[in-house]
Amino acid sequence: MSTALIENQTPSAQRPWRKKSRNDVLIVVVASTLPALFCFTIYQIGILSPVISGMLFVILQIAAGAIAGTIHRGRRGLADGVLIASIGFALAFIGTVMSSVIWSVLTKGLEALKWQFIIQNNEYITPTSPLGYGGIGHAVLGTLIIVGIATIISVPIGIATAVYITEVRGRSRVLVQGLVQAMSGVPSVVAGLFIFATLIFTGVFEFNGLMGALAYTILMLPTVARTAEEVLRLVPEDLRSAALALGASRARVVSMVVLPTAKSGLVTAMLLGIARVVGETAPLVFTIFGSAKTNINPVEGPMAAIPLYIFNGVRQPFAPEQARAYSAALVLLFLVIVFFTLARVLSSDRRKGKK
Amino acid sequence: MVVQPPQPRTVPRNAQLTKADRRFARIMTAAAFFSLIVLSLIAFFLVYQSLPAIRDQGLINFLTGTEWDSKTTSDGTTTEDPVFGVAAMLWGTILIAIIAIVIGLPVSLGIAVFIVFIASARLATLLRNTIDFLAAIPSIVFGLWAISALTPVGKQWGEWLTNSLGFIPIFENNLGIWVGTPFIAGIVLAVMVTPIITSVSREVLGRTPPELINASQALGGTLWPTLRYVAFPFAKSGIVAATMLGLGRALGETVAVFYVLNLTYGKINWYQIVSPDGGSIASLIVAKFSEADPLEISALLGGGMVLFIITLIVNAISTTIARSTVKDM
Repeated sequence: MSTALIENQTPSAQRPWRKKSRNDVLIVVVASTLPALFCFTIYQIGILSPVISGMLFVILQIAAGAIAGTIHRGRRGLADGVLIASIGFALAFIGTVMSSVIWSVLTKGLEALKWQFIIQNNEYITPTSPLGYGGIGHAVLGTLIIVGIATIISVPIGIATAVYITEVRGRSRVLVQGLVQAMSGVPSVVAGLFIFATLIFTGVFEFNGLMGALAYTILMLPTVARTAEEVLRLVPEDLRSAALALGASRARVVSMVVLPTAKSGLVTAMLLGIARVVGETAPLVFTIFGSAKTNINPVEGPMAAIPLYIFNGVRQPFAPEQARAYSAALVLLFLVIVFFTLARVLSSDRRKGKK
Repeated sequence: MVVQPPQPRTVPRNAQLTKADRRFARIMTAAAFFSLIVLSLIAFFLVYQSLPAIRDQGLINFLTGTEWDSKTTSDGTTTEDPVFGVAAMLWGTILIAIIAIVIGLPVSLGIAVFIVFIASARLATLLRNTIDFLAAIPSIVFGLWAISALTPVGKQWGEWLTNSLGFIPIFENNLGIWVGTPFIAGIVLAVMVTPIITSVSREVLGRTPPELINASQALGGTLWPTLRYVAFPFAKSGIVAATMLGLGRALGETVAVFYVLNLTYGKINWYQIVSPDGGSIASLIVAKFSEADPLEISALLGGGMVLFIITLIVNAISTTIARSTVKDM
């Protein structure tokens, strides 16, 4: 926060490399189109193999950046030109990937996506059943129940952990921070295996929704705890001091001043936690088993969930089942976007409210 | 992950605390140590449940063996002793994680530098949100993308790489198949670790004191000198910590890799990244789990334990580096 303060007070950087004259624009245009044109022509003629022409393009483009930089700014511009050309490649890479991911799910997923697909279950559906019958209603319900239980368990513990670190400031808060960090690194497959090894393999429980929720809790807790910790740190110290000066106990300071002040931030923490786990597949493979029927009892019998439905569906060699899997992925992506956007909107409200 | 400056303590620890305060503190402490309990339970049960398999195989054989075969025929009869070794899968996991970092780190740094030092405020916000959204996409969706969009392209690239650069050992391919290669799995992982590395390095780069940047510019430093002599030295350990964080994610990723990687047992593929001989402990677990007998399940849990230990070490390194940064500041 202190950095932001300094930033506001110092004059903004002049960014000498951004000065634009018509000449500079011309240099940039030539430097960014010429290598591409050249390599495309070579590739079309067929002198060199695609990999070589691709590599030639990368080298030429970076060289063009270097030359453009040198013309523009002398020897000092050389490194800048190379850097900017390379950054251009990085941005192009991530932009291509991003649009490709969304495009591939959208084009393949819209085919089977009808209203009935979201509300019906899959009980009498075989992998070859035509589209238009059956759906993922059972999996949507299952995901909501499993994520709901995980939320109910992990949010209070996560917030309490954050309170311990920022409010109680106990002796071992550095240790707890490290533990939360370590827990956030637990691979999702290990989280699922752990629940399987402790509760299912030993015969304490059968495969059921609760087991999936417990595996999700392991993944969700660190996200909630860390976001909540950051949010609680933003609560002004004056508020705490004022409440303490009025004679409030520390428990009261936390429950009546700190937590209400940070309310929307804590909701953000919860939503980010949900967004983190809602698409996790690996923990479910070992815990809920999956089902074609609707089962809303989390402690009895196998349960379905959207990620597991996709996971199994796409492995089937039949086109209708694959189309259904892609549609389910679209539904899942939609859910993630909803939680993610909600979290964003809430946290930006909070920042605006502070100013 | 986020480096926070230490805050002054409001209430001295030895201040007069009421009974309610102490009870409150105790409850919060109990909740805070939940993570410790879970972590120890994970370690304990993974070790405990994998003991039967490790005893059966011997710890050394389990860690250095490359075969993974329960030797059980379809009618459930066992003719020979099962062999379980994780070495091939373990090295495969590390290999694809290395590919992911080699591709993902430069891309992430490029984007982070662009956001912090080049882009206008609006463009920077847009890019930040895009990267954060990319981080929120479930891995199963990346898995579908990897099957439908990346595999055909990655296969073509692999083939080109072998044909034009096959004399370099890492691009060798003796099988004539370019599907299911570590190369493709590495690209998927690169895409998945990029948002993580980007957002952390963006944050540490953004913390470079503006005075230093202004001073560098006043001395005539343009973009590259400012980065090279001011921003990167300042953010160095943060970027290393971010890379370790990304590495931890890449090592533990399951479903996206499971779809696109061909698991080969019996030999370790040390470096042939465009040959369809891959390994991944997480994928091994998912692949073998549904048809495993109790001994094999125990062996799979042993694999999970190895994975858990590795990610724990990688994360511990990341945390240690990140914490030493806080001290420097």
